[in-house]
Amino acid sequence: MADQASFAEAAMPLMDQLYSAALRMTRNAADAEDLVQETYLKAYRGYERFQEGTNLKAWMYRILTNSYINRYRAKQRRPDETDISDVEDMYLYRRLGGEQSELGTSAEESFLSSVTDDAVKAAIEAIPENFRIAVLLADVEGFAYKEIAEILDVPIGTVMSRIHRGRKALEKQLHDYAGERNLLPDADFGNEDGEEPVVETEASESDTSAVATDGEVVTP
Amino acid sequence: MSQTPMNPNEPSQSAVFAASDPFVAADTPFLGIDGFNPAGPMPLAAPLQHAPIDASCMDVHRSLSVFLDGELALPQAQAVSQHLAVCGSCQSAQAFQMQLRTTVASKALDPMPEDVRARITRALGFSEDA
Repeated sequence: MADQASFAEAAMPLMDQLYSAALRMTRNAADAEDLVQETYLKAYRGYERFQEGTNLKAWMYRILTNSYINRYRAKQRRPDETDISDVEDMYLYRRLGGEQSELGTSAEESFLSSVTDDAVKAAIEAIPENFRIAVLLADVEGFAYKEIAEILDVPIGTVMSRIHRGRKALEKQLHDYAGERNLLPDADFGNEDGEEPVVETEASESDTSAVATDGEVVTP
Repeated sequence: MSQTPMNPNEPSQSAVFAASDPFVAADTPFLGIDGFNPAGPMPLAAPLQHAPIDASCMDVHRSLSVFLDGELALPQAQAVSQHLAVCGSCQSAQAFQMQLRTTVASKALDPMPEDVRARITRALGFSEDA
C-alpha cells in the first residue's frame, strides 16, 4: 500500500540518526534499540495523521523524545548534578588557551582533532537531561530553535536557555576530559597560583551574571 | 593627508579633543567619554589581530552561539558580523566554536546494529529489502 511504501522510503533512512540520539538519551544500547523500535511502530501507526509536506524528521524526533520521556525518564530519575554556575562564555576555548595562542597554531585545534568519539559521546551523555536533549537536537541533529520548540513542546525561550546551559555543561565535560589527558596548556595566564582554572576567581564569577536567566533551575 | 596623526602644535585639531573647555563644549557636539570622538579624525589604532578583549568582544562572546545558530535577531547579528570582520581574536573564537560543533556532530554517531534494524523492519511488516 502506498502509505507503507512512502513511510518506509522517508523514515527508514533516519534510523541511524534516531538510534544515535536514543543512545545519548538512554545511555544504554538495549534501551536505545527498544526506544527506536517503539518510535517506528508509533510513527507508522500514526502516519495517516502526519501531514505530508511537513517535516518528517522533526515528527520522528518528537515521537522519540516523548517516548523517551514517558518510558525512561521516570525510571532513571535522579537530580541533575552538573554545576554550570561557574562556566562562562567560551569556557573551553579560554581553558585551552585560545585567547593567548597565535592564530592557527593552537592547543585548541589539536584538542579538537584528538578528542575521541567516545569522549564526545560521554560528554554529551553527562549533560543534565533536559539540557542534553536540547543540545542533541540543536548540535547533533541540526534542528532550528522553532523545530526544537515543537519537538519538545516548550517555548523558544526555554529552548534557548536549555541549549545555552547544555552547551556549557558539554564544554565543561570536554574540559575535564582534556585535563585528564593533559591536553590543557599550562595554566599560567591571568591566574596567580597556576592550579585552579581561572573560572574559580571572584572576578570571573561576576562575569557569569550575564547568563540567560529565563529558563529553569538546574538543581531541585 | 588626513590619515597623518594629529599634530599637537596645531590648535584647531587639538581643540576637537578639548571637551573640558567650556567655550569649546558649548557649541560642539558631544565628543564621548574623555573627549574621544567616535567619528573623529583620529585613525583607528592598528588592525586588530589579537586585540585586547573589550566590551564589544564580551558582547560577541555572549551572542556567538546564537549567532552561529543563525537565530540572532537582525540588528544584533549585523553588529556581531561587523565586529567579527575587524577583530582577529573574535574570529579565532568563532572558528573554534564552529569546529567544536562540527566535532561534536561528527563524533557522536552510532549506526543501528543490523540485526536490530532487521527486527524493526520485520515488526513494521516491511520486507527487509524495502
